[in-house]
Amino acid sequence: MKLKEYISLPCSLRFMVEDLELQSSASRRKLMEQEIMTAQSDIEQAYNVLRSYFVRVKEPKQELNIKTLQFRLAGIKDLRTTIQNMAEHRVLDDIELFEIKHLAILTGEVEKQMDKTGIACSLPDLDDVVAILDPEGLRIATFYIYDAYSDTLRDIRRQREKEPQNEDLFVKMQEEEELIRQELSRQLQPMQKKIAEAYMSLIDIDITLAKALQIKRMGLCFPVIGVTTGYTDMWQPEVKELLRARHREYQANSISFGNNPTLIIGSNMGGKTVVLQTVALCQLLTQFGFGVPAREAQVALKDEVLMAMADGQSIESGLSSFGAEMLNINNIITAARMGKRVLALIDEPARTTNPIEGTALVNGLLEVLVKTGQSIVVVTHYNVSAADCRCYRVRGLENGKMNYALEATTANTVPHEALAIARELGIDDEWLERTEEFLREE
Amino acid sequence: MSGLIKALAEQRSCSLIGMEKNTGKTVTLNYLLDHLPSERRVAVTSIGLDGESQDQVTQTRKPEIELREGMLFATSEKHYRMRKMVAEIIDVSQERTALGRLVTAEVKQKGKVILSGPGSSQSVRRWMDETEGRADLIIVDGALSRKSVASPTVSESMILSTGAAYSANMEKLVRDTAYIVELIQLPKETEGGEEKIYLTGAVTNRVLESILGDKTAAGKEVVIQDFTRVFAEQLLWHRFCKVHRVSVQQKSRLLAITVNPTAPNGMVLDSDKLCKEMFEATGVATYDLVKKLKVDR
Repeated sequence: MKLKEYISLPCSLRFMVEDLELQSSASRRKLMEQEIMTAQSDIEQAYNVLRSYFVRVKEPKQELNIKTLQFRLAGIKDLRTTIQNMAEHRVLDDIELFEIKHLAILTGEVEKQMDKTGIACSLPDLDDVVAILDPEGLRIATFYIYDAYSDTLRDIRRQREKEPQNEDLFVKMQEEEELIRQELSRQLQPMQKKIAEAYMSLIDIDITLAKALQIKRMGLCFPVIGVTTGYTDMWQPEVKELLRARHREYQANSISFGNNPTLIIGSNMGGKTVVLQTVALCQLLTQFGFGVPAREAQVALKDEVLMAMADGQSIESGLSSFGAEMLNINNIITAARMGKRVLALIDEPARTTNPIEGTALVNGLLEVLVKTGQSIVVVTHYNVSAADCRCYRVRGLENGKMNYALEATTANTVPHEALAIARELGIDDEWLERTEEFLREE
Repeated sequence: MSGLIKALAEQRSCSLIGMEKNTGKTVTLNYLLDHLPSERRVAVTSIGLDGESQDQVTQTRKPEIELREGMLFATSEKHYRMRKMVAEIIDVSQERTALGRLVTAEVKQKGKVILSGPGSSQSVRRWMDETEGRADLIIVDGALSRKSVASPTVSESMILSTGAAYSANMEKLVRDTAYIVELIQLPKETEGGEEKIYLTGAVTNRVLESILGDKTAAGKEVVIQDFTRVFAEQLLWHRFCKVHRVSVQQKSRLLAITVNPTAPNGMVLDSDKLCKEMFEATGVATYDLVKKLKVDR
């Protein structure tokens, strides 16, 4: 699946992509079209390149060089149609010839700036392209069919100075210009591959630089690839940003899991959903080659990331929240059984039905999931018998303050903190008193 | 140098707007381009509806503009390809319009081109920012006033074209033009001061009436975005202005009015009388450039 298909998952991947300082819309387009990387060698290769950028980007003395590099990269234009036309041996028009000349000069400038910054890159040499499109040797990224291309053209244009109204001369000039365009297109033809390569490389530089700058800005880490997944002090960057805006601290937390279901229990408002979002986000960021929001990260690669979140109501298909949710989880079970490596995040399954059936549904689900041997993280409030599951509990209310830390637990009883939290929220006293009476009666 | 050219040569940017089609906006543009001193580096583009829909609205083709060596212009890919001149491409924008991307070029050998520039205020602004360093004076051929998606107030100054095509009744022509001039010359919003009423969007009769009917609004300054937002009737507007100070957030200086006394149906108004009455009603220098060209020759 492509980045553009994952971007609307409710895990702030969009936030991270939009935070990138991409200089060109062509880069954004290419990034969105990127397929998720599933081979360890691809990902490690991508991180090696990213690291080589990051070591430069983080040096304060490089700031001006990086700014200049960004300024240059902002000159990348969308050349898809032009490159396509070259591949199809079409005669290029003035605008396309301008674009190619512009790219060729830009490639040289970016290479020089990369060199200054000390980042290795392999951009093709396009000097011969520039030579063809710059007969006057001015090295300026402007273009027209120069007089220098043909004596005939020069003569016609001189004649036109004297007879600006002569239509025949104008037609003659156009014919001569077209001959020159044909000749230029023919000369450029063998260079089509390296022009396309330069274009793609410039875009890659823009994307990689933006990722390296994001790592610096957000203090992200480079993940290592492993057989199990574990994050130390991970955070959800969008939530952290929101809290910062309200002058509040984000409490990072840690989690690790292997190829069996992991259960997260704990009080309401304990940040369990945020944990699920962060786990999904870190996985996707790793497999799309971004920095990861954690102090340390080890990631087991997956073929697919699936989420069934609490806001998964399907109004369009006319399903109730329960129906939509059941179908969504059913898809996860199907995918998990298909033999692909799956990471699935399920937020409070069966929460909208009665607690007796709900608990049974979650117990059943966990048993089914254990058999699939996949990485699946489930958040629940139900009292389930979590045999064979790793279990985490949110620390919860401590002295009237929420502790969002996760701790591994074996106890399969969910904490009863709902009333305490409701009281913290200032919920109606009579309601809570009556509730307590009901609990005592039970 | 005529007074009009002198006034324009001092500006950094100028928009041309017309009261109506055939009021001589293109004549004005060509006159200016022809008479501006050649050492002033001029860049020109047009704004408003894209070329295709404009053709449909008015059933006429956008006219060609004649440009000299050294002038810069911006037009769509489509019209760039149709140019009748030698020009060097300086830039191709990433924004797309219905007629393709925007090409900015420098004239190498004089000739004609159809101008179809950026479609919105923001993209005109962006183009002007990019072009400022390359040109001394930017001229923007605006769309018909108030029907435009892009406001002419993006530029520092303005020239208004009006004429018999709008109304062959001289009294109405002068009165309505004077109304537009009055709107163009609305003062800029006062700094600080008391509580003001900000109106975004169109200022219609209904909006004015509701403010007049609201006792809590009495005496407050009313701020509108720019003159193109006013669609209210003159009588009501004048009544409103007696009760409220009305100001604008964006304003540009009106340099001159140009008149075309000839209507498309052949009706011709007395040029001298029209210029005189227009000047008396507006206080703004008024020219009949067609006549001037004839006299000059």
